Amino acid sequence: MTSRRNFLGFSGMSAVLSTVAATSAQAKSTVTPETNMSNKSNKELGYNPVRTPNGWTLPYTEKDGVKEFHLIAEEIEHEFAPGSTAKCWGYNGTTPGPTIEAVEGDRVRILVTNSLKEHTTVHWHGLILPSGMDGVGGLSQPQIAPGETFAYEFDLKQNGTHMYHPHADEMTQMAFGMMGMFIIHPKEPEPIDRDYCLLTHNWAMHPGTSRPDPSVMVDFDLWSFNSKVFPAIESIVARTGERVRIRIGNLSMWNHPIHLHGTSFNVTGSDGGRWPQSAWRSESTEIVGVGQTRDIEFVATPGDWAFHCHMSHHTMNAMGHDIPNPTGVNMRGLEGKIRDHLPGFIAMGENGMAEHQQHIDAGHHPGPANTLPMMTGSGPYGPIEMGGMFTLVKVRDDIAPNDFSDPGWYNPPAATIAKRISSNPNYGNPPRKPESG
Amino acid sequence: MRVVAISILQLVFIPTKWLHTPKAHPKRDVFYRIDKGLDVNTKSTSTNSFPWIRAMLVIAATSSALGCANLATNSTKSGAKGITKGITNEAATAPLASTGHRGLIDDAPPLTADKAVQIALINNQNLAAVYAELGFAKAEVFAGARIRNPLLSFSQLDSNAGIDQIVWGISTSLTDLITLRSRKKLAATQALAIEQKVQAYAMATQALTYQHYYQYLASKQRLQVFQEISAISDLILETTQRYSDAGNVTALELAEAKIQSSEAKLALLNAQAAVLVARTEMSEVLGVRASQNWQIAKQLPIPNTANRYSTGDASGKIPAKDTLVQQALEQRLDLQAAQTKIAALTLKLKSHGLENKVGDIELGAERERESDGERLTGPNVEWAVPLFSQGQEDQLKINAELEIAQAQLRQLVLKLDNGIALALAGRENSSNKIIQYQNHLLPAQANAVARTQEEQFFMLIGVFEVLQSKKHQYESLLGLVDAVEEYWLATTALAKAVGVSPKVFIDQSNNGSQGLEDYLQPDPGTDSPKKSHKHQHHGMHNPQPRPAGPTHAKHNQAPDNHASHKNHTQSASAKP
Repeated sequence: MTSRRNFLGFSGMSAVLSTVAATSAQAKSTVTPETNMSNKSNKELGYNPVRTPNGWTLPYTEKDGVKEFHLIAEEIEHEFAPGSTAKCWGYNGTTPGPTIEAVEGDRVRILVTNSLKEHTTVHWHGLILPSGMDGVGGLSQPQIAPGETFAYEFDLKQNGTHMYHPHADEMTQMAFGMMGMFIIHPKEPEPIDRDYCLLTHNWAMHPGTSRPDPSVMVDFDLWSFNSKVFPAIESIVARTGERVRIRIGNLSMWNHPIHLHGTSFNVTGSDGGRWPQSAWRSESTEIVGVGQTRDIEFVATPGDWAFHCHMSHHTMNAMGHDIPNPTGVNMRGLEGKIRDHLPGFIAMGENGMAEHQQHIDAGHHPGPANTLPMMTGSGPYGPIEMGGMFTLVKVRDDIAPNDFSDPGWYNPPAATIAKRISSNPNYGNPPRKPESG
Repeated sequence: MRVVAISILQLVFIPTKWLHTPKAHPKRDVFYRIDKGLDVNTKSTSTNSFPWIRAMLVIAATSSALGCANLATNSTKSGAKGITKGITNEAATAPLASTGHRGLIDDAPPLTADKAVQIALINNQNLAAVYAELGFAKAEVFAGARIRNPLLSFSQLDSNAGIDQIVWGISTSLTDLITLRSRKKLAATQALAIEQKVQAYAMATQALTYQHYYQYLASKQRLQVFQEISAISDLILETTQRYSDAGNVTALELAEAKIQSSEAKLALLNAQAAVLVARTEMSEVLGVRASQNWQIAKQLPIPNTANRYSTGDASGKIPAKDTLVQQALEQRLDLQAAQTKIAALTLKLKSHGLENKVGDIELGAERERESDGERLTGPNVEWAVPLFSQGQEDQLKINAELEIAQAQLRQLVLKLDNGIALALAGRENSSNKIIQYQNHLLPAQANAVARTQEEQFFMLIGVFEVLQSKKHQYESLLGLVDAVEEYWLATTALAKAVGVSPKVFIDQSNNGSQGLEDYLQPDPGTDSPKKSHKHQHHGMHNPQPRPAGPTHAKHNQAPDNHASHKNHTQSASAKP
């Protein structure tokens, strides 16, 4: 184990401090989610790089056969979607932190600089490594004090979809957004055309506040893919017929049944790497448990396909958890009386909550500051009425390789769109179950 | 003897002549102006038949008193004199004399505090009773300036000698003549004490009118707030009932809403009773029936707390407490009345001492025809020699009265000092409360309501939280009404304690004032109704069917009835 004292003795205090300063300045000034740090081709890399929607991949330098990465833990300003920003904690300017990519057999050195005001560590979740590199503060290493930089160095003995996160004041630091993906590619390239990774999380961003509340255990307000919520989550784009892999990690506090529309995907891997084909499962929904990762693969078919957690309230943004149930409540004649005292009052929900987005979109009333409406997003046919862990898989026939830009709305053949054939509520004679007896 | 008789007749008529001779002293001037307007012999019926005449006289007396009773600083003096002049002018206006108080009460515009004072001075029956004490003053003057009537005597004694004996005699009190000067002085002093008492009572009636005016106004404003609280409690109940009808709330929640509504109604009934009591009390001060058609202003003015110290003097500050106390000591009419009473009792003691030392001396003349025809004529003197009694029992009684009056004066001075201190503190305290309400609590409440409404609109909370938030806002207004009432009562008490009209302080405090209505109206800035949208029946309409097929290509927004309002919505494919 490399202790802090030994590390400082090895590198020299001044060198460490200058590195910290330089790295910190760089993170704040130049790093953007779009940064592609590698100019190497896939062939040179030896793998097809993963794409982190709304995120980015951490560049590395090679030093004496060791791939050296540098993470810096720090407070950041994060936007979940336009209209909601927060003081979060992350790595290198973002939450999730940049995706670390390497190849099985690589030796990696990961410098971790702590720019927080409390100590931290980094746990390499799912990786097979020496005990002293496991990143559990107080157990496998001393914590990284504010201003200190620690070096983790180990060989990658496996491949698969992994994660990293703090193991010091873990509940708080993770609640603030400290997490990232660690992808280890196999030595032999895989037949994957497009490789995406998503990290799920939950946030106690109480309406009207601007900092996540780390004390919340279950009643979360925002549910995110890569720390973004619909409609700010980038679409997963593919060309028709391409083999697409989506790697999903879960560092939230709920399990997530992830559902993809329009296809039957195979569950092909986890943090144990890509499973033998005999172990694949054909699913349309795969539960990704807390602390787990899952890889799903499918062949892209054209269309705009919803991709989301199937916990319904995980596809909502901020919403009341214990509001009185308005469904079926007739407020006729009463709404106006209430408005006499409370101008602008709108009774909602007698026939369901779909009207909510219509009011929001019409701008009938402002909501709390820095708060996203419960349901939002508009598609070509109207409100999508979603939020949280919801995005789209957009497949087109004419997407160029390495083109990840949004192709817009799908324009399906006319005969393949559901259409209205009557506006008469008594249309037809739909059979109903006969009453027994 | 003829000379003596003429002198006595002259003395008898001196008082009337004296009454018709105005003196230089302004208070005397007022007092005698009052008497000049009355027929002494028919005073009682005159004042009862024409109350406005009495009112005019009392107002005049009060105005004169106000003229004396202003704050001592030069600038304040001029201000107070201006106010006094204003009152005097108002009192002299035609409606009082031509139509009486009914012209000011029935079907008249809502009473201002000043108008209420005018009416009280006309009609207040306690004041009328005190005013009648002026009769005692006149009686004192008459008594003091009078000597007992001469005593004529005649006797005819039957004589067996043939000629009856006849005796003629006349006598009068020499003591009365000797003590006349001191008794006149005593009578004048006693009359002055009564006059000052009447003036002080008129001042007190003025303060009492202001007090009840503000109490009545505050009770009405409380009623208004309780009406809003009850209305919103009813809305909570009605909403809960609707939720219950839909099967969405429990029987317990419905019962709790009923409790809330019922409690609000009970509070409303209490507030209605309080208004009735306050109106009745004020009507008694005004001397009119509560059932008469009179009204006061609707709004309890919220003082401009920025001017709460302003009295119109050059510094814009109320003088320090010690200065106010000094001024009160100099100008409080009840204090002057108490001092005059002591002076009168001192004189009375002195006068009684002289009388008792001299004893009762009667001087007279007698003419006698004897039975033998002889005629005898000559003076006579009768003297009650103060040998065994020098009137000690009366002296003791007067001494006791004097000691009581002195103690009462000391108590009055103590109360005056404490009263000014308490009123100043009350004014300051209530003023700070008003500031707290205006600058902190009420804006925070309005903000809370607005924020609650935002949360309800985002379906983060339900309708009940919004209604409860508004209810809390109304409940806070009750505290504001209390604080404003306290302020005006403290201001009135301060004026009363200093011995000036409440107008002196109230006019300054009212500059730029607000009313409660400003807070009962929903704040468009915080509640932010979007008036351009008519939501007569939100939540009940069905969304319009949308056209089939995509009409927008990349990043275009969906066809939407409210497309022009879009502000939050992002495309599903929006990039960060």
